Amino acid sequence: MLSPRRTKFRKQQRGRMRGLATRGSDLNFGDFGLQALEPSWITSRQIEAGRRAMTRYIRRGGKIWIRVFPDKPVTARPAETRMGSGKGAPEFWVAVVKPGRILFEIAGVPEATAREAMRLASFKMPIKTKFIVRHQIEATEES
Amino acid sequence: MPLTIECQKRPDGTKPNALRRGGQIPATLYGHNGAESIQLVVDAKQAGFLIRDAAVNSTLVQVTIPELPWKGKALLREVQKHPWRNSLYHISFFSIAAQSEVEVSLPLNFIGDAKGVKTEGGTLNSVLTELAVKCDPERIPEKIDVDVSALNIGDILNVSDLKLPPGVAVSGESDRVVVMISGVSTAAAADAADDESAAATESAAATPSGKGAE
Repeated sequence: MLSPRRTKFRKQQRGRMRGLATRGSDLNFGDFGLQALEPSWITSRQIEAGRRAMTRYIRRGGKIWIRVFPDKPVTARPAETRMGSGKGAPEFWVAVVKPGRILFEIAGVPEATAREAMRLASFKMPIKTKFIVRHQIEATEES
Repeated sequence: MPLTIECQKRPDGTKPNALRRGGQIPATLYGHNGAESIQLVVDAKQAGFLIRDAAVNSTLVQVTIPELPWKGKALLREVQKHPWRNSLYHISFFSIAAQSEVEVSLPLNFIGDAKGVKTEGGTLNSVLTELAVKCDPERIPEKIDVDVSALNIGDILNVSDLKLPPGVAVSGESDRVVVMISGVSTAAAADAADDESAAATESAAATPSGKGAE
């Protein structure tokens, strides 16, 4: 699972997820992509589950890019603990995703395969997503 | 058939968001007269049709502005839009009439099945999908064809290896990699094997066995 090697601070505040993605909202590597339509925290487990779903479906050939990285630690308090005594221990890592962000990209496979792989990956995500195609490929298919 | 669009001059003091609410898209035209630029508005529906058919930074558009004596072809330089809805925010047109050479980005069209992919099971990694070139504004090619059929596993095609149409020159470094054929890497194979074993374990665990399941 993805996680940072080292961080400057162990714990972070939660923050807010307002607005749209301004970066990472275009296809930059592959021909097809999965785009987030809602804001959410996506855990490293969910990213890994999505990646596995895609890799299993396409089997061999093709290349997958993960366009989000879980760099935010989320803390949790142990069960049945009284209030106080500080913030809990870091439990897992999340990527902060805003609407428009590309989550995965794929290349080297036909569109039908990419579409199905992304559909399977989208079931692992906690948000609504959209399958997108590079503009040039759309144009080539139409002509 | 050349693409055409009719624009109106944007009155001073109009607010872009108010225009968008009213079904119009703010636009700008520059390059027609030195450093001068004109603020325009375009009908949102017409702009939508234009964006559907034209590619950014490579398609020429015939721009007509009834209020101005200027009329000519322009390059669709930039399109700002909502990240996932198809609604447009702003369009920039770059007039080519006064230019002897323009820099455009042309899509790369990969032709043929690479030998390394077809027979040896490799993967075609296209590093570049479009290439910035300089050419005569009146003769902008639609795309650049790249023949990959002779490539084997481990072969790399650089920008300098591309056969460009006459009058087209590469803008930027020519030693960049366009496409390479990679074999099935050991890491990827191990990953796939790991996934398959994980799938087998999961299916075995999901299968009820013994008396407890009955």
